[in-house]
Amino acid sequence: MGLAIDLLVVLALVAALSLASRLLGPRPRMEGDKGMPYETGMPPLAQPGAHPWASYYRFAVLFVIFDVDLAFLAPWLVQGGRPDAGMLVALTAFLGLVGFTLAYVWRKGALEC
Amino acid sequence: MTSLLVAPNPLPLLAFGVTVLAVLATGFARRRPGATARTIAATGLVVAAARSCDPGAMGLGAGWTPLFVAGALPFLALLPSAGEVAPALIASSVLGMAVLAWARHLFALFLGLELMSLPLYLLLARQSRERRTLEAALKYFFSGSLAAGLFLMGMALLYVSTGSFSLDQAVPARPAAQLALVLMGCAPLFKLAAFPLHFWLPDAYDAASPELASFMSTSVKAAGALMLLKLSVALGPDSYLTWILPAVGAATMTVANLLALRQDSLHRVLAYSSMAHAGTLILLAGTGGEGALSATAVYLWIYLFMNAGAWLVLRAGGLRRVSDLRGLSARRPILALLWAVVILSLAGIPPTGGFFAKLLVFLAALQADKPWAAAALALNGLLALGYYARLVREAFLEAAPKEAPAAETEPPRLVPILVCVCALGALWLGLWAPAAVGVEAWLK
Repeated sequence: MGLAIDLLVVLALVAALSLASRLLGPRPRMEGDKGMPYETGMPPLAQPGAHPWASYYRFAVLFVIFDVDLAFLAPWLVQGGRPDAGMLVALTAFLGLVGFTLAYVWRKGALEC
Repeated sequence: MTSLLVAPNPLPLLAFGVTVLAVLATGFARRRPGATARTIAATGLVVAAARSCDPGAMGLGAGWTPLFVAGALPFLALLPSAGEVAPALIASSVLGMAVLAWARHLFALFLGLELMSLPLYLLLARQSRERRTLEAALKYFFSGSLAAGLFLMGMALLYVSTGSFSLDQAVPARPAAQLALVLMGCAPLFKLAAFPLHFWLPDAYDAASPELASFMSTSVKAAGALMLLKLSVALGPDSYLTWILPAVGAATMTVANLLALRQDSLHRVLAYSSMAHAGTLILLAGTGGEGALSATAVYLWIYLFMNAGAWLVLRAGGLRRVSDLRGLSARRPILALLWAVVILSLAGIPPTGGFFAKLLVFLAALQADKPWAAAALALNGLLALGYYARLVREAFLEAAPKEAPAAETEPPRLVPILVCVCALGALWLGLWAPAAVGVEAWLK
């Protein structure tokens, strides 16, 4: 019951504030530079909603591979105690595999634009 | 922490992985690798499968890998020799099946499922740049992802109700756990193209080359059957699955046989035929117990020979439509004879392996006290005869057309040899397997 009242109060507050801001506030003028989408300070290169290039997809996939491998390495870094030989072998094999992948996609020219 | 892959000997699995890496490594060479990649892939897979062979019992583990590799070999051998990508994709698909076979943990099972499926979508999409092929590959990909998602949801639900991801537990009778099993079962049922999940099948098989379709309908279906058995026999011997699976299997067989009756494309007829056989396997998985296990193994080995044989005849003769078969007996009498052997075997006519395979399933259904399943099996045998008989009649009794169908390219020399091996294998298994399996013990 208390939760329901909380929820109602929050919703009413949100509605009231946004309505008040719209009624009482100054009209924002969105022309010129002010209306441009903010993209790290650069003038935007494309319209929002434009399709990315197909080759961008390749970079995205490769990025995910090398990003996820960090997620696998994190447990090794934060675990307490001394790492033993088995862990070292597993780590080396895993990094070797990732390195092989990088070398392969490099050789195949997948890193070129 | 429990190990993901507990098996008596994990080394053969490592050999599968090393094979994939070795095939990819040929891509570093300056010259285009030609046949080297194919040779390395075939050798590596055969050696790894031979090392994981466990004579005596196939069980639910490593003993299945020779079956997967045998289904992949014709496809590997008939690849046009350009680049290392296709052999690497085939090898990693087989690696995924091996992971499935080794898995004793649900995460490993999922990893194997995805590792097996993702290369398949790519292999299908690489067949040609035609719209039809890409559409089929996309359909296959999306519906496969849906099945993988259902599996993950089932896995999460099972974890919530049992607190374990192990395959070495019996699932309790609570509804949530049972629902989890059914959701997970959707993934192998999709791979086997069971009745409500079969819509991707005709397009995918129609767009695929005969040797890719042969790989998809032998190795991949075997892996799907293994996964289904792992879920139903290992995880839920007394679950809903023992009632759902025979019903789904019977429905799959009936729908597939009815759809196959009116097809004009040979690829589609064989696609529905493979769906009907998958229905038989699903029915078998639902009967449960040790009997179902060994019967599935025997069925799959026989099916491997007769089905691969049928697809390879299409490749050897450059046949696409049912009417292309006309006059085959006059043009290429030996090929027509081998065609008749594999088709009669698929139909389950007595001296061939197909008859014995069907008999085993029939007996297993009776043993499991499901007479209605046995009746569905028998009726479907009659129904299937309708289109199998048509395939043989077109080849032998119909007059040849004025102009012979133009074969675009002469198939490699290897194709007729492989057809011979497959047809003779299907025939020989029908004569030898009954004694080897001890059919007298089954009949009692």
